[in-house]
Amino acid sequence: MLIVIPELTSHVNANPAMGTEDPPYTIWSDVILNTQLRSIPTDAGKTIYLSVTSDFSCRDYSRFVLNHDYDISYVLDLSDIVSQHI
Amino acid sequence: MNGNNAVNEYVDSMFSIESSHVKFRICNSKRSDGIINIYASNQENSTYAFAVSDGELVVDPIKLTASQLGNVTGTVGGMYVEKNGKLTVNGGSFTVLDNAIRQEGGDITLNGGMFKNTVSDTVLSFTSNGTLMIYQAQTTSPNGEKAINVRGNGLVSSRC
Repeated sequence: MLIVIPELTSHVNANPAMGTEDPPYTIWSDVILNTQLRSIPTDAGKTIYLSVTSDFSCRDYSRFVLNHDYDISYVLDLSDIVSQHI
Repeated sequence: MNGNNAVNEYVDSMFSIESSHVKFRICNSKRSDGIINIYASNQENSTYAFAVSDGELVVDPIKLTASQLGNVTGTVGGMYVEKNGKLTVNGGSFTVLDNAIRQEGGDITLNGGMFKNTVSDTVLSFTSNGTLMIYQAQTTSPNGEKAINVRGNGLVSSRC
């Protein structure tokens, strides 16, 4: 599996309005991300926030397969990307 | 959850949304120049940034670009929708090799966005049952032909 995600961080925020969130994770591969997503206590109705802090690149096959059997929302926020190149 | 979980045998994607319980939103809460770069690196299959076979994908204004690595012939597209998937695009720019959006089922709503192909003509491909609602969109293809290809039996509505 060839994937390039230079720096992807995610954090879980059960209640964004209250600002309570776990420390951000630094994620270097989809495998790690998937593992962490599975390990995060994602109760039904929660929102998982994913933020990208540099270019977010994907080569070859990827791999975030979201197929939960309970209600869950994801937000991928690109606002912290610091550069772009192509 | 592994690298072989393609939604479609011939389609692979960076994010694959396959559950009606999942809502995935892409946004840029601070700026408008956040960018996702994706690269084609295989010889045959189509790769998409996002695939939705069930559940919902909402794309707020972002930039998405795609290019090929080396001499590969595989293509990269933007969003692939099939089965019961729902896609809503609220703006942004999507410069890809082929099929900024490809639909083989499911519902699509375009509230905005600039969709550009750099290799093939079909920017928006809508080929199966479902609903395509276009409120605002701009398409650009290399030869200016067949930018939008609709062959489905579903409801198509354009208010451009």
